[in-house]
Amino acid sequence: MYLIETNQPSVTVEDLGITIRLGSSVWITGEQFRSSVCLKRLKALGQVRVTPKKPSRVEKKPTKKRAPLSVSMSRPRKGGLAKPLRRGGAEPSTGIPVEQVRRMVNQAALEAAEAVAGRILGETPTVPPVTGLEGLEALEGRIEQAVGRALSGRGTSPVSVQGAEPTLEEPMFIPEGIVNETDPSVLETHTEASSDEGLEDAAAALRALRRNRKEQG
Amino acid sequence: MSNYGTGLDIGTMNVVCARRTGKDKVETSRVRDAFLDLDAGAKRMLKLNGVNFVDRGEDGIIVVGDAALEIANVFGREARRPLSGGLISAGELDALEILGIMVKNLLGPVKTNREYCYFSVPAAPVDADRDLVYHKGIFERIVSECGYTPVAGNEAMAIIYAETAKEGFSGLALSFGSGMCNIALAVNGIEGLTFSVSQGGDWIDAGAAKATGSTASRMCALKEKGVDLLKPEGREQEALALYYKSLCEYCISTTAKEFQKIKDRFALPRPIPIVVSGGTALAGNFLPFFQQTFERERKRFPFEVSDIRMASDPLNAVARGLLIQAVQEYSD
Repeated sequence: MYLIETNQPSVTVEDLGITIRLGSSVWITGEQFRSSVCLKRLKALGQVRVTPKKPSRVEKKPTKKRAPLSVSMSRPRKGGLAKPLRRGGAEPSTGIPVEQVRRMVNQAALEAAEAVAGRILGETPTVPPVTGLEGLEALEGRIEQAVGRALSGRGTSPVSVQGAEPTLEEPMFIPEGIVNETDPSVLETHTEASSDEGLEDAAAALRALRRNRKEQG
Repeated sequence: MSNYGTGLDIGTMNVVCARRTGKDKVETSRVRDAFLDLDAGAKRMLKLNGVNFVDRGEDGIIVVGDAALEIANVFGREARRPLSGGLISAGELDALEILGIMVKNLLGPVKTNREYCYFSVPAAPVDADRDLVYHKGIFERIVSECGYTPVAGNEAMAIIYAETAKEGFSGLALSFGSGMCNIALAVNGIEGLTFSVSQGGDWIDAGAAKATGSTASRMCALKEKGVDLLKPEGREQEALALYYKSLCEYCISTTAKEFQKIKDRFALPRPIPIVVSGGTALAGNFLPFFQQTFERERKRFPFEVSDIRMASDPLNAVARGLLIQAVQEYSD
């Protein structure tokens, strides 16, 4: 099995018909991995990380349940606004326990909602005065629509790394396991031995130069 | 001095590894930066011919290096290149695996725990928007997975370290590569200016081919067979000389332009040498050709040049310069 993760808000592998979102991961079979050209391209571009793994058969300790996200209002609403994501995709039939999948989905939803809430609250110029139950429900409706729009991916842009050094907050996926330890030596290399009288002097001079620079430093 | 430390020059056309094997002795290993994928049915033919390959089971087989070019001719195909324009080819899906194979075979096993390996990275091009971060990160990962401690070193600065020790590591180095040209200016080992231009040997081949209605492969073969840039014979050689002249002029004028941006904060206390290197500089009479081109610009050039010379070993100068940096990590 192969585990696919991403550091982008959302990545779609067209020929597999799957979408991977930030904070969540997707399992695929070896056949799917080998047959997907799109996945190989995304991997080469560093937008996804694909790791050969076996799904854990051991139930992990249940994580602490977090209180659902709720927007602070004059009258707190029970349950808050954080509803479980009901996406079209069914639970992956990969042998992962349902509870684990549910936790992964909830975690992804919480993180996405926190990011969206921060954006909405920053962008909203003023909030009209809310009176009565109808006003409150109308405001909740508007907020839910805004959250839904943001979560659908519109208005978000992938992290651009053109010409930019990656920061700690924006890790760039450099694939692991590029060098296969089991591959035998298969290359015929052209090897030449030569005398190089200046090499040691140059190395010594360079070391002295760097030492002096450090001392002056 | 120990024999620890290695230099790895990763180029579009060749990958070269340099290692010290004794007092005043250096061993360089080179592999062509090319590969070819074949169906599993070709295994028998390759075994009969003694050609090594990587077996990928139902995904076929891969031939890497010089053999890939030879076999590609047999099958009437083009060999694939994991690097393009000096950087990892974005469109080449198998590039990473191939580069891993090449580097692993060239470096071999470490001689000491986490032995230092200085590998070359180009400078950012001034005339194209290309990302170096991914390229550098990939090779750091590959070299690390081979058991080495990876350190990235600028390609043209490596030539400074290899060729200008007697000038106190001061000079202007131009590395004429296949995918790009790298340029570095340094005084007393301090890097003042490093950049690259996205034209190189491949650009010459493509331009001359287009001008004469020929192919880039033929132009490349013509170059390797031997062309005298000062006395080109025939249309094709004249086209090559013309593009060589254009490339030299471009590098010189871009250097002058880039220097203007730093001249107020980077003083050159004395005239410095220019060192030219790289596979593209191996064309016949390239040095006098370059000197002639420079003389036309000398009066307008922003700093004084003491002399212009060719690297002692143009194909291996970068690897040698990186080796010098790696070896000094282990000096007493």
